[in-house]
Amino acid sequence: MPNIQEYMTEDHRRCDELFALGEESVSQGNWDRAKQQTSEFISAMEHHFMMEEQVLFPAFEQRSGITEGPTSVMRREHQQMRELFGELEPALEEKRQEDYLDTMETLLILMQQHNMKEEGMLYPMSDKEIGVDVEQLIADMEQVSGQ
Amino acid sequence: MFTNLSLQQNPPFSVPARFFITAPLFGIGAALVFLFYGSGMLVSRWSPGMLAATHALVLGFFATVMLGALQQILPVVVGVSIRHPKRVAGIVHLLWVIGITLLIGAFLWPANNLFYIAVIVLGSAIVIFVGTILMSLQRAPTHSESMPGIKLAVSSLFITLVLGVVLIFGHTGVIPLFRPGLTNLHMSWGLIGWIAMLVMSIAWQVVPMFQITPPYPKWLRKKTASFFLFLLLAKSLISFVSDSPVLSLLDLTVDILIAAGLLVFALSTLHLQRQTRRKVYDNHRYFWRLSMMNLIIVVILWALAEISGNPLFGLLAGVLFLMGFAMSVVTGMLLKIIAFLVWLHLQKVREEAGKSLRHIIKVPKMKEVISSRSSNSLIVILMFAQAAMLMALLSPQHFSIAAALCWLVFFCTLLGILGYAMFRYQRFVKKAFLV
Ligand code: HEM
Ligand SMILES: [Fe+2]
Repeated sequence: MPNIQEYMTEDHRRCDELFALGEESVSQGNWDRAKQQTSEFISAMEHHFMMEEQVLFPAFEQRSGITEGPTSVMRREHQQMRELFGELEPALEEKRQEDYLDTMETLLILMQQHNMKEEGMLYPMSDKEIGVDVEQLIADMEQVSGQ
Repeated sequence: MFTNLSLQQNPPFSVPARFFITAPLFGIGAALVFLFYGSGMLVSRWSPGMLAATHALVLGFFATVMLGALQQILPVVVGVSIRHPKRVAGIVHLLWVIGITLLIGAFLWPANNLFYIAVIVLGSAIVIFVGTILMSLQRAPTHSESMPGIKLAVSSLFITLVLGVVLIFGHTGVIPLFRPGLTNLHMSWGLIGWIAMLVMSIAWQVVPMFQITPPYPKWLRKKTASFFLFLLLAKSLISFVSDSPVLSLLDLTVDILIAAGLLVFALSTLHLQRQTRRKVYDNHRYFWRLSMMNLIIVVILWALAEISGNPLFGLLAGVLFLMGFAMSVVTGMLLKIIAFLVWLHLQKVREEAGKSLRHIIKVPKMKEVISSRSSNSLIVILMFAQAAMLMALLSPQHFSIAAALCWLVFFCTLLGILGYAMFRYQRFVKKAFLV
């Protein structure tokens, strides 16, 4: 039986790999490839955020009755990550290597401590709360578009 | 049902920061004790300088960093935060610093009353801290994998304290000093149960995440805490029963299993690191690698000590455990945590500062707070200090002073790096309020 925990964790790992690719290209000074990879990374992240913000979080809030709790924190952290995404693009345009790498470093820690909280707590709790409807929920999340 | 969940509650910056900035000060204290006593300190396990420097390090440096870090990471790894974090941190930190200072003083200038006051003050700090953490863990919303390890680690800190108190009664002459049996037991709970267990529980989360590697094997994450708990309990039982050949064979078996557990952890960490997806230079990785290589050497030295019966190997193993394995990983983590926290909290300051301000001031990112250059130089100094320490153990007359100076430089550099990070934080906060 599918579950949120596995499905979403796998998606986190996919984002991690894209993260590492962009970072590597910039550190090698391969700017064209870096642009491509960074935008792939950002779209993967956006897609992930959308799945959560439009499907998973509302479902969790509805079932558990908590709206001001963990999901609002997760939304805020998404916002913080989006701000950092916004700084990556100009750094790429202007080929500011150090700035790009520093932003990525900060983003990595922010993203990973966020993921730890989701994988360790929010996803297992969602699986419990949502129960038999998980399959439908995952199908709904797959419908979400990235942009 | 999940109302206790507090994913949001990062404690205020001052909560972990006060612990982090205190730690290198005790490190400097330990180096000064070493510098002052010189080679005389290394001649005996029980010399006043040795006991003072050891506790300035294990309590003043390592435990101080770990206390600060635990308060910070609890919400992330187990989803609970400490209630009234500022008040708890304020009280614990105050008692902690005074207690450790008194204990160091008591080792250097033994006086019964000094020992007793130290125990009361330091003991209160530990009891409050351990109690708070264990109570918070009770409220955890789900069963995180790191939970048993963290529980064992903080409980071990308490057990180490209890055994330390018994040893103190030995020092003040109330009861006999059960040397070396009780000291070794105290050491095992402190070094293995508290330090190694906490490092491992954190590593399971942090290494795969920050270095983008596959996860540690599931059996390792699931079984390690109970494995070490069982071995430490067995060791304690054995040391309370009187000597017999059978028991010492059993004790040896327990030691071998502990060493094997540490070795598996070190090897699997190095193995994971080789599979990292992150190809950019990141000195954090080298702090971890240095730490794990030291841990492997510790196990080898420990085996040599058991085989040869030469106490020098035991001393080398113990010193490398602290100054190699623990020092590398703890400083590496400390630099990362501080740089990130400064960014995180300043981000919040900026958000609260209002729209007009948001575009004027820029929050310094991690490498502006702690540059790669400063953490690179710290790792180089660390390796020098470790090498010098080994030489000092092999030839105390010639290298003690040099080793002490190396450690002094190391802790001063660390203090400088942390001090600069805090300065950046303060400066930003001030600017945000002035604009
Ligand atoms: C994490 C905490 C601690 C660790 C890792 C630790 C570690 C050690 C080590 C390695 C030694 C042996 C030193 C040597 O052989 O040269 C030792 C001895 C000793 N410790 Fe601790 N310690 C810790 C906490 C404490 C506390 C809280 C107290 C007191 C309240 C304490 C009291 C003592 C005493 C009195 C000795 C001397 C034993 C003797 O003379 O035989 N320790 N400790
Ligand atoms: Fe998320």
